[in-house]
Amino acid sequence: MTQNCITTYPAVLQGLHEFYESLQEEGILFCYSGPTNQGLVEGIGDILRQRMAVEEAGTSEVHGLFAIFIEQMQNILHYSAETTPQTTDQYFDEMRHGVVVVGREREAMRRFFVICGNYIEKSKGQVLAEKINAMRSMNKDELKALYKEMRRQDPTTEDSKGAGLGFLEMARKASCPLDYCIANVSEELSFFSVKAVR
Amino acid sequence: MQDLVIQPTKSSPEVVFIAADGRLSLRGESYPEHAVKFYEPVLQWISSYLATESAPLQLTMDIVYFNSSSSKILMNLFDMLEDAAADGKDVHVVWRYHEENEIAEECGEEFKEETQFLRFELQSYGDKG
Repeated sequence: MTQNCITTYPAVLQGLHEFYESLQEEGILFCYSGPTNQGLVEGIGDILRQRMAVEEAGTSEVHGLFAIFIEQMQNILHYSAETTPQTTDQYFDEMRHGVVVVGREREAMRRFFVICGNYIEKSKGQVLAEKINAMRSMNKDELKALYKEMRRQDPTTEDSKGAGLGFLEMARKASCPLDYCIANVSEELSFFSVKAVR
Repeated sequence: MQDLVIQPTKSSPEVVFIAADGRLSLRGESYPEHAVKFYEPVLQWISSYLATESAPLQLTMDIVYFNSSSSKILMNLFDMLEDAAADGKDVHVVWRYHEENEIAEECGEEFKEETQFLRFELQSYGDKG
């Protein structure tokens, strides 16, 4: 392939086309990496619904994936350990960082999926892993029963801003158990990623 | 008692609570950034309505999608109505959903399963509403 590049940062610019092509090859519909806020969640949510309409997804598929997407994004929004520092003028809220990838399998069942990742405090990794491991062995009825039980529990005492129901909601909407990965990064941080397939 | 009216946003429902005839409605999407904060005035209004008014109460829900935090708060809301119904108050919940929105239907059924004394009715509609 011939390239005609005029740039002072060749690595990023020349690699971008390759990067873009590789996303398409992997069936990635779109991805985002960086700081998040509620407006971004709403905006990408719109794109997700629109994009799925183009893909001629069924209503229940769209609603299910949207539900997964919102829980994934709000996890980053509420729990990511990486934040943009507050500006002194207080005009902007603190933003938490993460990465979201929405795609569709290229083969066989052509299922849609959402992958999200963000830094977490290392100490929280074990709790998350246990939570998801337990869900992985449950069938739909067991997930429903646990969901109902958790929904009635008082707000968790931890630093939970949501209901602590997010992963359960994702597991219930997913067509197979949630996959996850916790990578050790430093003394304090791990990188947590989770994949949900509709 | 004053009416409670909140305009909808992309991620929070329209709230129309009319005190005079006890008709309440929540309509739209519900995945606000801070669900607890959003629903605080909603729960408060219902709580003081139940405490001060003796007229029947009808709540119409037409929520296209709600996230897990909203779900928890809606459970609190239905618990509040359920307690009132158990005390003899006439409470009627109408859960509306688009006929193709299976998830909304299922969510309605799951709330219904959690109630006993209040009248909980599921109602589907087509594209014409």
